[in-house]
Amino acid sequence: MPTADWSMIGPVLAVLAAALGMVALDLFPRRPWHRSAVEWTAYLGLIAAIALLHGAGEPRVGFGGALIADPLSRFMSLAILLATALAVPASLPAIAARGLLMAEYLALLLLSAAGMMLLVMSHDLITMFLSVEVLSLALYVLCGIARKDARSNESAMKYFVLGAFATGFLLYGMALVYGAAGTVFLSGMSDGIGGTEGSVLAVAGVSLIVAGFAFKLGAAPFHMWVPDVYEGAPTPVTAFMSVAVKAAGLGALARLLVGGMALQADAWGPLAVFLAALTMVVGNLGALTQASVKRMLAYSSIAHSGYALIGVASAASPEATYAVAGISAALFYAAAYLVMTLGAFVFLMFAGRPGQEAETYDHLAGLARRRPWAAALMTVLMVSLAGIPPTAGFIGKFVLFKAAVEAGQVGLAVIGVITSAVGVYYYLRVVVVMYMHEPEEVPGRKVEPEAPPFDPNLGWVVAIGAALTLLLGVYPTIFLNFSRAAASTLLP
Amino acid sequence: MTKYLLLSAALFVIGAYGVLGRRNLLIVLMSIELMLNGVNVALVAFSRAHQNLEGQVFVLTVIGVAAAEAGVGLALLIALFRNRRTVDSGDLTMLKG
Amino acid sequence: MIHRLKGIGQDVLSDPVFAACAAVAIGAALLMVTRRNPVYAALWLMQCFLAVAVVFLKLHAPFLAAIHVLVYTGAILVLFLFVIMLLSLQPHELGAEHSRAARALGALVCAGFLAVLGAAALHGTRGAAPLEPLRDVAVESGSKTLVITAEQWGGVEHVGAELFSRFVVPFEVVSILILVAILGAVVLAKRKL
Repeated sequence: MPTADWSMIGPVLAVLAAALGMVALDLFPRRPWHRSAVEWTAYLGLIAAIALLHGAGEPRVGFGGALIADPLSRFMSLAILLATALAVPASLPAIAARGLLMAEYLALLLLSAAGMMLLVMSHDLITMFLSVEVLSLALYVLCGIARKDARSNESAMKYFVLGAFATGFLLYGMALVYGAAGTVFLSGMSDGIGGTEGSVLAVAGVSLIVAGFAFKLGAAPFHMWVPDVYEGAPTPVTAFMSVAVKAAGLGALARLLVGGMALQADAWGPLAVFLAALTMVVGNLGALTQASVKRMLAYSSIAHSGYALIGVASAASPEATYAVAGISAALFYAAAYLVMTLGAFVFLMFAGRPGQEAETYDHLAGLARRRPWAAALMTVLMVSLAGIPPTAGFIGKFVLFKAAVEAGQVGLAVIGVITSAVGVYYYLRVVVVMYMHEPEEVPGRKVEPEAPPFDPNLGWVVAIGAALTLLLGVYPTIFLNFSRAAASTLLP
Repeated sequence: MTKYLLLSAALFVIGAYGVLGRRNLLIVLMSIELMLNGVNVALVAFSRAHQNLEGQVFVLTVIGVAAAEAGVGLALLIALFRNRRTVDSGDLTMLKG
Repeated sequence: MIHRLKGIGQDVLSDPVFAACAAVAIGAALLMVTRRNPVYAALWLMQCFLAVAVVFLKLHAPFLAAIHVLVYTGAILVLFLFVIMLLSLQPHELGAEHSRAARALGALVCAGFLAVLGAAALHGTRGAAPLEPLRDVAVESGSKTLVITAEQWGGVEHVGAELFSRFVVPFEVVSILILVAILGAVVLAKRKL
């Protein structure tokens, strides 16, 4: 038994304990306080996890080399916990309105978050693969948790089949890398790959791994599932998975490629460039033609994966400083993307009524007059997604494009700027519809002037998203330093 | 050594054909199991070639993953069948842009 | 390329147990993906798993071979058969198949995969050269050190010593995974909650 460094996995244990506690609470006879007990167990676990995240900056490898705690894992764990803490209150109205199982829903949400935290901490291929599976399986179930709803069933089934297919490729890639390196541990993996035979296997393996992760990130050409799954899943689940999976997947991909296989950068660098370019183009062009705002946001999340991949592509540079700049920019972008996209998806529930979410552009027409605050918050989020200052989206794109140009990836920066200009159109269309259009009489949908009550918690989630978007845009320095520290300890 | 890898690749690819070429979701789920099984052969062979047990431990966990995936996949299929009376992936057409 | 393939072919033929197992596994897998009735497909899949378990024995993985049979055929395939019986599909409920052209395209894509993976296998390993004989290894297990000889390689003791020392984290993560699967299966498939 290797020495157990419990403080390393404290946050994961806190989240797991909360998940188990919620399921255990369900065993007791129902009392009036039952629902709030479950809710507060979740908050307690998340607060404890955030409190346990502190620690010295030096990277520590523990548990026989299976896990590592370093600034990267802390940065990403913090982002994942933040997304989870916002997803819990965002989920409660949907759970109540659709009659979902509260304890199981929240427990699966927290178990998925625990899988993501393990993923960014994992330091060998076995733990990495298993963490991907934990988070994916929990999300497959969450997508289908509205089991009486045929759209939810369909979303979950599509996600499951394609996700399991992609997992197969990820696993085959890991097997080939193990065959090439002779070890599953990331430390010493790059040096273990020797000779022509080893490098053939390593190139094949790393390509399959990148393809597998590209699927999880929703990068083109592995993005086909994203719009359907995001549309069909319950909206709070979409909000959670669209941001948290990408943060975790990006962290793990950076650790594997830059930390574990730095010497094979010739193999994965061009792949990352190809994926980033294609993803930006496909995501932005796809978002242009959508009538549903939820689908538009799904395509937008594809596009933003492409922007984050610019950072990974730049990190293939042999110069250490450029590699650090690329990864650091990608990490910051993931954090910025997280707050703005989560807020935008939750807004769709907030702008609708209980059981009737806003989906199309028409549903948002004239919203500024009925709900001036909601419209203002959404405007901040859309401006940020479009990449206009003074918001997180602008700073994120700025550091990314700067890193790309420095690392010699000028082409990617140019594609990024052009596709961002395309993005301005469909993001600001939401704003225009909210402020300038008159609400239309849609058949089968009553537009009542006295809006029925909506849960004020949703408003707080959107407000926190918008506030963080502005904070990251106006005072980015602290976060940029954090992401730079995370990136620089990653290099071997 | 190469023969084991070729067997592994063959099983994996046959499984991939099952996922891409069939519409019956029960067969698709079985094909996913076959893909994981193909990878297992490669992992055990590499474990033997490198003379360390890491590949075998990997396979042990993959078997656990396969069982968990089968459980969740079949549960999803049952939920789908109760609502739609179909196990045909071609009928999954409610979500479209 | 051709030369290499020839060498591999001779290697396979000189090893009748492997040749038989590989032929059975690939044949059963092909039959599995082409059957229309899922019960037949499940039974062919079982045949494939049994053949693979024998290959594991040849690769000095006796414990895995046993677990493989127990879990894949004993648990997973029984679950599949159970669900097939639960749904009790009538012939017309089996659904349509893809058009001939779509299936041919799928097969073509898969042939491409096979070419790439096969090329990686051919160029990434040492062809028909026999594997080196197993050496004794020392495995740290708790306070004492176990010496694993070639006969004990991949046995319960060896796997257990590794699993509960260096690989204790993956082992525990599997337990989280199974918890997720249990919760998920209950939430999705239980008729009344």
